[in-house]
Amino acid sequence: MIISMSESKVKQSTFQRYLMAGRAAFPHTIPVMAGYVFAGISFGLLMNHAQMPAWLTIVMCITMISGSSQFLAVDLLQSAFNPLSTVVINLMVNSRYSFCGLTLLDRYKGTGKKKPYLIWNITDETFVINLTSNPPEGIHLTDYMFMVAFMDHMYWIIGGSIGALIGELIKFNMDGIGFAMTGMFTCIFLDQWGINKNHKPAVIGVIVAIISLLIFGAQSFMLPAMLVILAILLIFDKYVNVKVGEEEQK
Amino acid sequence: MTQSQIYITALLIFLAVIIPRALPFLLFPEGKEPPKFIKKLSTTLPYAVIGSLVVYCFKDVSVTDYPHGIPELIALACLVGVHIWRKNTLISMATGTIVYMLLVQLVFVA
Repeated sequence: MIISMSESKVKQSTFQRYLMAGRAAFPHTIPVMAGYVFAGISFGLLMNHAQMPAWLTIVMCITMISGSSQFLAVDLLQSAFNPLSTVVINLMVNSRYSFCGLTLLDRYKGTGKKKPYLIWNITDETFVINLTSNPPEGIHLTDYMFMVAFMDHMYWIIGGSIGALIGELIKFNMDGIGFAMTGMFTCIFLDQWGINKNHKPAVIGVIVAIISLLIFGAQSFMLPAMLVILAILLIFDKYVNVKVGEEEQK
Repeated sequence: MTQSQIYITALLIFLAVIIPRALPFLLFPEGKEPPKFIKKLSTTLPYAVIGSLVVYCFKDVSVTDYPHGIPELIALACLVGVHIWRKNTLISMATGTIVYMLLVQLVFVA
């Protein structure tokens, strides 16, 4: 009796811990909710039109958590079977997440059992939120980042499921809703610009990406951009970094 | 594609999605001291990556074709203005998104 009571107390406090972390994290994920639910619905609709079963749509949303790969998958699943090009194309599309992972090494250090889930759930949006936002006092960073990843994951699954199961019933014109995520990235960029006095890395990121976009086009510019950014930051490390110290001293 | 080829393709995509994400964490596990360049990057790479992701959001905008990126520009200007004024991500984002949806659905109809 006593044991079961104390067990339930522990369980409740764990539940409450996640509830608190979820409450703190939720406002940061609202833009993601807008973006993911509607992008998920579009994905579900595309899969329906491609005659794919609803369960496959939902399983893909649960396991892949990657908008770009899943939209690409709709095409791949309808073309001739080609395992090699499937793997190569998708490795290319997802290669930039290696750079996100590299960036998150520090943040995800010490997250223990939740680490595999956090790594699995690296998306552009979850990456940016978990990199830049911090929980209020009293809430553990790991719980907080886990809840960000978990809620974003749920939005994507819910969107995909709605699209696959009842998507044809939706009549609301959603054109332009994708700007929610553009807006979120822009706001975070502006906030970072205000916090970090060293603007060089941000400027390098923007300029290299624009040049790469002009050279390689919308479909394939991110990998070359990331590689060049990495090279510049490593080679001109002193120039990019030293000024930070000077500005901090002022 | 046959049924089983569809499932194999989906499985391969899943693997190709997971591997790039896991790679840095496998190369630089927590127990080992990461090489120096990783530490140096931690103060610069995040800001550069976020900058490039902002560009990524606008990748499908064409300056040469109608509507020449004008809706994006107007919505972005509203968003930045509201963000500097109120410093509240949700308000800025809602403003930008609503402005953009109205523009592409009502004003700049293709």
